[in-house]
This record gives sequence, structure tokens and C-alpha cells, in this order.
Amino acid sequence: MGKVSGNLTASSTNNYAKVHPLKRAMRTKAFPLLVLFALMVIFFSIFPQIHVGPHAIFLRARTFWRILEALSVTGLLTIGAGMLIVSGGIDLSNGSVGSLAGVILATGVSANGWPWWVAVIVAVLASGIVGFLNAVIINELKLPAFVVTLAMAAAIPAVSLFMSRNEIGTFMGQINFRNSTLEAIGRHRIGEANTAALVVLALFVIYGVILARTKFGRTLYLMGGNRAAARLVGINEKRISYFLYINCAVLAGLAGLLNATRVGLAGAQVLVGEQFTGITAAILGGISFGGGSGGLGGAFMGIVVIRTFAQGTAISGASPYLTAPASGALLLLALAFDYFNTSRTNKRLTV
Amino acid sequence: MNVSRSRMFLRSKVFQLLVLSAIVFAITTLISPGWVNPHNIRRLMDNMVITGIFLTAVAPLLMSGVIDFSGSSMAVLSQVIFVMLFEATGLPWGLVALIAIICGGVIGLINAFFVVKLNLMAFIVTMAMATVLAGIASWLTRNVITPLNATSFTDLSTIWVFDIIPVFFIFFAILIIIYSWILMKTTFGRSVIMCGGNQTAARLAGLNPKRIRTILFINSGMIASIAGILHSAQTRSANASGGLGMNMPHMTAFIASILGGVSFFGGSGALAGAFMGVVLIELLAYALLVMGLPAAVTGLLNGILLLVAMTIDQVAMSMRMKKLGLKSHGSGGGGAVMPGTAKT
Amino acid sequence: MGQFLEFRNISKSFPGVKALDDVSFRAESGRILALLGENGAGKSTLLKIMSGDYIPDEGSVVLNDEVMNFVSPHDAIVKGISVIYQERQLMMALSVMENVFAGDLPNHNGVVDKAKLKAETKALIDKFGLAIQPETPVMLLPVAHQQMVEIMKAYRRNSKVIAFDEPTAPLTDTEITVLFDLIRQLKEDGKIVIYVSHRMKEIYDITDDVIVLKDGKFVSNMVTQDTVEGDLIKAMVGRDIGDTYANLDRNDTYGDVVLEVKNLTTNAISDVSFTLRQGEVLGFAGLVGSGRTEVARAIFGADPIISGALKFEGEDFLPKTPKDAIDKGIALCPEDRKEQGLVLHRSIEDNVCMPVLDKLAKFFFLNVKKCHKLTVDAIKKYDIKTPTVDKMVVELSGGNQQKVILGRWTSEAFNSKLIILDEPTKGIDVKTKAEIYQMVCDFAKQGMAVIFISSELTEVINVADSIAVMNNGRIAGVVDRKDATEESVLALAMLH
Repeated sequence: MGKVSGNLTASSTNNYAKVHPLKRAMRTKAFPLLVLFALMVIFFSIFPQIHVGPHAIFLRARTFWRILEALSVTGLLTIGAGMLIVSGGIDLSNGSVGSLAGVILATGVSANGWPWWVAVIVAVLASGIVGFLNAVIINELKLPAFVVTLAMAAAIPAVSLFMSRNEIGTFMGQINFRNSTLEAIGRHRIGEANTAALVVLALFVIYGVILARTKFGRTLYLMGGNRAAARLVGINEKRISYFLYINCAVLAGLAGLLNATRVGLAGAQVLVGEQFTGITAAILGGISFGGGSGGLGGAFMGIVVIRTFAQGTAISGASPYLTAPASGALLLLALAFDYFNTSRTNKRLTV
Repeated sequence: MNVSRSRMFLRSKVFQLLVLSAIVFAITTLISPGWVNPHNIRRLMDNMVITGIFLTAVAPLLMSGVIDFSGSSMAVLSQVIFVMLFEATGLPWGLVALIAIICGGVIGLINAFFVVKLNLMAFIVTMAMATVLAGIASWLTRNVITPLNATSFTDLSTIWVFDIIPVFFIFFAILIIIYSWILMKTTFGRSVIMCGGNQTAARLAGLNPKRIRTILFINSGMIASIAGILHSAQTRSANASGGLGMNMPHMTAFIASILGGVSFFGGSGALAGAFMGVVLIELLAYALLVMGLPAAVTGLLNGILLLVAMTIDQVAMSMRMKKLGLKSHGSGGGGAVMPGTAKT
Repeated sequence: MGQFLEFRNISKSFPGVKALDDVSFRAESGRILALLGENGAGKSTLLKIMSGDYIPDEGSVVLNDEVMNFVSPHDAIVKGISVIYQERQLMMALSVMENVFAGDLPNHNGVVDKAKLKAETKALIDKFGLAIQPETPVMLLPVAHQQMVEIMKAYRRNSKVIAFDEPTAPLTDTEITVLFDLIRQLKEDGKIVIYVSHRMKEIYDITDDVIVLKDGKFVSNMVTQDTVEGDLIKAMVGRDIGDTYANLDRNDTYGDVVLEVKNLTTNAISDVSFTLRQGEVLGFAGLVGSGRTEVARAIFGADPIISGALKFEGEDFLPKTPKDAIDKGIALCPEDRKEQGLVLHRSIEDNVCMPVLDKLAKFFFLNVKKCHKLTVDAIKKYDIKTPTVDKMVVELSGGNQQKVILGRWTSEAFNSKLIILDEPTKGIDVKTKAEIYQMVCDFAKQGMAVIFISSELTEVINVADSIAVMNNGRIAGVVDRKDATEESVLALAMLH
């Protein structure tokens, strides 16, 4: 027996190399989604031509720029929510927060005559405050994040509506507004590509890198994987939680602003559907509840898949009404598929 | 500790909510004295019917430890199916209603498959289902309001007992009484609460939480259908993007349940308290309307009510766990506790 | 009458650990049988086999000549065996009567017969002479009464066997008296009663026979009244430890005082005081629940301190969060490595680098090479069996998982001055245990102060330099290794 420190076995010559990065990339959820995306592209390049006619062209640059543009608003919502879910939290209110930001912008500019940049600042600040409120209630009152943000999602539209009173005092469901500067910003293009969409893409990359490669990002995974263990190695989960909720809300605010400038109108419930798409995309992309796994790459591919499907079916002449239920059904199928897949390896992904 | 009967405990929740409702009533009357007229009371009761019926869908599931968020969309879809089928086939409305209700049951079964069999998180599954159902409803109607010409049915919504109480309200009241009775007095009803209260103990006692929750999901689907159909009588139409979807009565029922003492974590509560919760919330909503505030302000108040009710519930829950000798749920703060995922 | 429950050649193993080894004994009706043994002797495993939660690898449980093959815990209950655990399995919001008759509510075609339910529950309550009302919600009952409800549940089911697992922990003396009257009543009614407890006084108070288990094996069967305490303790301990400990290369030079604890009081411990020097290994022995982990957590800043003074390296020290302790160089390997120590679905690398991410990052970006190197160092140093640093820790064996945690705190990037090991060898095979013992000695040699908490007496008294024995939240005594015997330590831990 004697000393058992150190060893001279063959394994000491192994440098315990990490799995080849390509192999690792293939194991993430993003990869099957990429494949799915490719398959969709192929399918939609052919099918509409047959079904609708030769003018129904899917495979051209414009389609993809459109897809990118369409997913930019959702993308902002997804980034915020995705980071939260990875760390073990959830935000069901960011759709409402985004809508609020849009309303503040619209009312500020058209009804109150603020300069556009003032309205933008106020909108972003307001979003941040809501995020802060969420964080306070969740961390100090220790209520489940799910319920708190749900309650917030019910409460915020009321605030939006309050802001959107017109001159006579009636509450407008939707506000139209025009502001050339804002529209110029929202719709600005570099070539075929919408600038704002490119910015969102850049944000995905930035946040994705932060999540995957920085100390901070790693901490999020640890928190989400085992909060007690994270605390016992000195991670300040409260501070991180505050940051994430505020971050999510601010990103949602930006989403609302972007949406408002593009569409020319704002309303209290405008972004709620997008919020759910965002969460769906994140889950499809491998970010699971209970935290600790997945990444923004997967989430991004999730949105891409959902939007491509929407675009493709639109070009195929299908009713636009079917896209929303389709992504809901897609999520359910993906979850079921995941269940049958992983229950074999006994690592249950119970969302 | 002196004996205090469980019924007394519940009655006190009912009593508290009654008092709150009375206060709301009083304040509203002070501000707008003219509001207490037959028209308003009838409208108020009409609203209570729709929200209240959802109690019998949402509350039992909640008691057994599961959340269902698909109710309102199910109601919308049922409404659409009901009206479109009726207008298209001319079959007697009773038969068409039955078909729509059966559809609701089938959807409930699908929910049960994902949540109970696959053990996925109830909140995500039912939310996804909600988008699917709402989307199908929109697709079927192309978002066009479809009128319902079944006067023998729709006229029922205009019959008022004592000139004030809508017939539907009587129906709703009877429904609540029946469900209340089932939950309180039958072995099945008691097993519902037992499953939510302590899954392990329930299984040790020979109960089958999976089977019970599946039944409750089917029930939830059917009840949602009934709500949708009744609503179509009130509005004489089917509207995929209308008030039923917007107001999310199932959420109101959910909040009312928690206000009324049904624990978010399952295992306690009764319909009586939830009923008073509905009364309070609907009264509040109507009062705001009377005072000229937009409907969405109720969202604000509901949100606040939900938070308050949850805090009380959470405190009660940690007290319960302490008494059981267990450390309190560590994952309550900051984490995404999903109580709708009662492990089956 | 004349029923019996027999355990025939029961063996049960878990990965790396043999919990029960060919255990055979018999419990009879009309006599209360005590099941005695230290932590890890196999008592809980035996109870779990009785209650249908575990299936034995070998052997069988026989009740009145009928071999019991349980398909589920419910099956065990149906066949007449009730185990009453410390955590009560009750539905808090429901009434006493509903809990007692859960699953079998008296009814007419599905409608509950409330009058009958109430009457039958009342009959049961009266039979045992308790002051409980059938309709009270269980939530409102004091703990002692909740336990009574559990017993009534078992009785109502016509259980032939009722086993108690440490029932008196939360009770006052008066309540214990009432409980014991009830248990004696069960005995008179011909039930087979099995009583698991560490409290000597109670064993002598209420039991007729005692079975002693040690290291998963049956040791002896004695009649309570005919046995002296000392003999019981001797039966529980006393084992051949072989060379494992003799061959340890220990440290014998101590340095400055690293930690001074004076009158430390928290929710779970009172008035704990001790000092610790560099190079010293201080063991903490005691029964489960005696407060050892709580002392560790308080020092580490994980639990709030109510009163007391701490000094670390001569300076006043009052940790409010784990970060405070970590910044000073204090490390904690938690008791439950899966629930509190590891992030199971992350890689070995992540788990090793967890506390030192700051040091491994340059301008926020993790230096992947450094993380990798740190992990490889830990793998080599502790001989962790894995082909790659990316393996998820959930796939490692218990021993290797523990090594990951040890590696985390003893890397190049973290200078541990005081390392606290809470049950480091729980669920680990013998060979790896020996490795860990040597690691502890190595830590001491490197000048670290070590706190070594363990429920395994042999281990604690042979690895530590001195042993603080905790009993009910206090330190009952501190024993030097030279003077420590398992009996003396156990006596300190168990007796008042």
C-alpha cells in the first residue's frame, strides 16, 4: 500500500485532450437544427414552384434577408430570455415590456412631442425598471420566477394603456405614429440587408460568445445547473440574477422599439406572441429549463427554423394563420422527440 | 393548539374575500352611484359565468398539483367549431355542442399525454397547446367574426330569473355546486387533493396520480369547451380574436383559485374560496369599467393580486414544510420553480 | 398470534459499497425488537427493503411463512408492513381522519361516508388514549401528534409489522412517554414492532430484544434487559482495520493557529469552541443530526451565525456568504456531493475550475488552456479515471466525483489554508477510501489545516489527529487519537 499519490500508469501520457471542436459542435442542438434548416430550404425551393407556380421563388437572397429581418425582433427577446433560462430563471413578461417600450416611444413622439431620442431613453429606462422590479420580487420575496413574471405580464399592459391615452382621454388599443428619423433607423438598409437585423445578429454573436467563452457565461451555466453548488463556490447568484433580469427587460425594450419603428404602430400586447416564439426557439435550440445547458447558437437556429418555416409556407400559399400554431405544434413534437431520444440514455430533458 | 376545523379555515378565506368584495362594491357605488342597475348587474353576472366556469377546469388540476394554461384558447376553438359546424350543417345545436365538447375532451387527453405520460412541464406544454389552438381557430375563421343564428340557444342568454340573474349563471352555480360536492364529498374528489398534497403519501395509499390527472385534463378540455359555447350565446357569434381570447378567463380563474386558498403547490383549497375569488375579480373589473378605466387596468390589479396571493401561499407552504420536518424549498428564489411539473 | 418477520440472508449492494451482507434475523410479535448500529451499518437499507423501496440482491423477507416480493412500496403496505420514517408522509392540509384512511375512505358508491370516517377514526384515537380531534387539519397538529397519526395509519391498515425509524428525535420527554405507551399497546395487540434508534435510554426503556448490525453484517442478538450498555457499544464497533491506517504517512508538525472558534451558535449548534493549527487534522464525529455539518457550514459562511467569535489567522472573521470564506482560503467539500457539490451535467473541467474562474480569465475571457491544464493536473494528481476533461461528472463513480471536488480546492489557482471535508468517503469503495485518507494526510503535510467530518467511527479516529465528538448540537468532548477508541467516542456521541 503506502503512498498513493501520483501515478505512473499509461494514462499519464494522455493529455486528456478535449473532444474535437467539430465533434462537439455536432453534438449541440444547433446542429440538427442546421440540418433541418437545410432540408427546409431544399424543400421550399422546390415545393412552391410546383404547387403555386414558377413565380413563387424561395431560393434567393431576398428571402434570407427577409428571414433575418423578421427574426430580429424575436431575436432580442430570445437572447434575454435564453440567458435567464440557462441560469435557472425565466421571464414571461418580456413581451409585455417590449410592448410598453413601443408604446412609450409612440406616445412620447406623437402625443407628447418629445424628441425621438428622449422617447427612446425613457422607454429603455422604463424597461430596465421593470426588469429590476422582477429581480427584486424574485430574489427578496423568494417567489417563483414563473409566477412573478406572469403577474408582471398581466400588469404591464395596463401601464401601456395608461400611457396611450389620446387628447380626449380615451385609451387607444393601438397607436400609429410617424417619425421619419426613427423609420429611417428602423428600416435602414445596407444593400439588401436590414441594418437593425445585422445589429441583432451581432448581438447574438456577442452574447453567444459571452455565454460560451467568458467567466461570466460559465457562471450562468453553473448557477442553472446547481444553484446550491454555485453558491458554495462563492458565486454571487443574487447579483447575477439582478443583472440578467434587467438585461432581459432592456433587450425586450429594444425589441419593442425596433418593432414600433418598423411597423409604425405600437400596442400593449404587440410582442406577446413573439415572446413565446422566442422561448420556443430557445428550447428547440437546446436551452432547457432547470438551466445548465444549451447555448445561443442553438436558440438562434431555433428562430431561424421557425421563421424559415413561416416564410416558406407563406410562399407556398399556405394561410398565414397557420404559422403560429405550427410553431406551437413544432415545439410539442420536438419535446416529445427529445423525450423518447434521451430517455434511452436516461438523461431526461424534462424541459 | 386548539381545534379549528378545516371548514372554518376555508370559511375564513371566503369571508375575507366577501368582505373585500363588499368594500369594492361600496367604493364603486360611492363614486358612481348610478351603476347599480339591472343592466350592469346582468352584464356582471354574464362575465362571472364565463370566468367562473373555468374554475371547474383549472382548480381541480391545480389542487392535484398541475397547471393548465390552454383553457381560454380551447374555449375559443370550441366556440369556433360550434358555430361553424352549426351554421354549416344545420344539426340541432345540442348535438353540435356535444361534438365540440368531445373535441375539448380529446384536446385535454393530448395535454395529458405530454404532461402526465411524458412528464414534460405543464406550463410549457399547455402554453404551446394554447398557441396551437388559438392559431387553428384563427385559421378556421380567417379572423372573421362568424354570427350564430341559433336563436333557440342564444335566446337562453337573455332569459333572466327574477329579471336579474341570467339563466347561465344558474347553470354555472349548479356546476360549481356539483364540482364542489365531488371534490369535498366523494372518494375521487378527495384523491384529487391527496395527489397534490403529498404525491408519495398518495401513492403509498394506493392512489394513482397519473390516472387522476389525466381525467382532470380531459375535464379541463371539456369545461373550456362549455365555456366557449356559452360565450358564443352571449355574443351571438364566434370570434377567434375577440374578448374570450384576450381576457384569458382561465388566467383569472387561476388567480381566483389562488386567492381563494387553492395552493399553487397543490394539495389544498376548495371551490368556495375560488368562487369568491372570481366574484371579487370580476366585480373589480366591472367597477373599473364603470369608473371609465380601460379593461387592461384589471390586468394590473390581477397581477398585484396574484403576487399578494402567492406570497401568502408561499409563506403557508414553508410553514407546512417546516412542520413536516423538511427544509423549505431552496429553489424558490430566483430559480424557475415550475410547480406544474408535479412528478408523476 | 405468534407472528414473525424473518430476514433470510439478505444482501444488498450499491456501486462500490456492500450495504448488507448476508443478514439474517427474526422479529416476533409480542416483543419489541431494537435495531442498533452505527451510521452506515445498514439499518436504513434494511428498513427500505422492508418498506419495498429497495429489492434485495440476495435473500428474502418472510412474513409468517410467506415470502415477500414487493413490487412497490404500496405493495409492502398492502401485505402488512408499515415503516414510519422520520419525515412524516402526511397530507398537511387534510384532516386527521382523511390521512388515516387515505386510499380507503369509507364510502357508499364513491360518496364519502363522513360519519363513519369520523367514528372509526375516533375509535382509533380513543383506543390509544390520545387528545386529538379527527377533523383537525394535520398541519395544525404538533409534531408528536403528527407521528401518532402515522401510527394510526399503520394500525388502520392492519399492518402486522410496524417499524419506527428514530421516532423520538423531535419529541419532548412527555411526548415520548405517550409514544411509548402507544408502542406498548401495539405490542400487546400482537404487532411485530421494530425500533431503530441511537438513544440508549430508549432502547432500555421500551425494547425487549436488540439486534446489532455492523458494516452491513449481523453481529449479535441480545436480550435488552440482560445486556450492559458497554457490551452493546462494543458489539457495534470493534473491527479489524487491517493495515489501511497503519500505513498512512502522517504529518507530525503543526504550525500556527489557523482557526479559532469560540462559542459558535447557530440554529442547529450551541456554544461550539475549538482551535485548529496548520498541519492539523481535526475530526468531527457524532451521530447524524448532531450538528457537525452545521459547524462546517457556519465557518464557511453558508449558514447564518447567531453568536460567537471566529478568528482566522489571527484576525476577526465573520463570514456572511461563502465568498467571504473562500477569499480567506477556506474550502468546503459538502456532505452531499451530488446535490451541493457538483454540477452534474457539466464537465469535469467546469467542476474543477468553478471557484477560480476569476483567476482563469483574462479580460473576461476564459483562458481555455489554463482551465484545461488545471483540470489535467487535478486528474493526474488524484488519479481520476476519465479519458477526457470533457466527461460529464454524472458519469463518474462516487470516488472519482469526490476527487473532482478535492481537485477543485487544491489546484494551482486556489491556495487552501483550511479545507473542510464533510463525509468525503460516503458511498465510495475501499480502495479509493484509502487514497483519500492519504490525501488528507498529504494536505496536512503541505501545511493545510483539515477538518474531517465523518459518520464512520473507524475512519475518523484513525485519520484525524484529534476528534471533536458532537452530540445534540454541542461538543461533548475532544479526544486525542492516541486515546481514542471507538467505544469511547461512540459513548460520547450517544449518551447524554
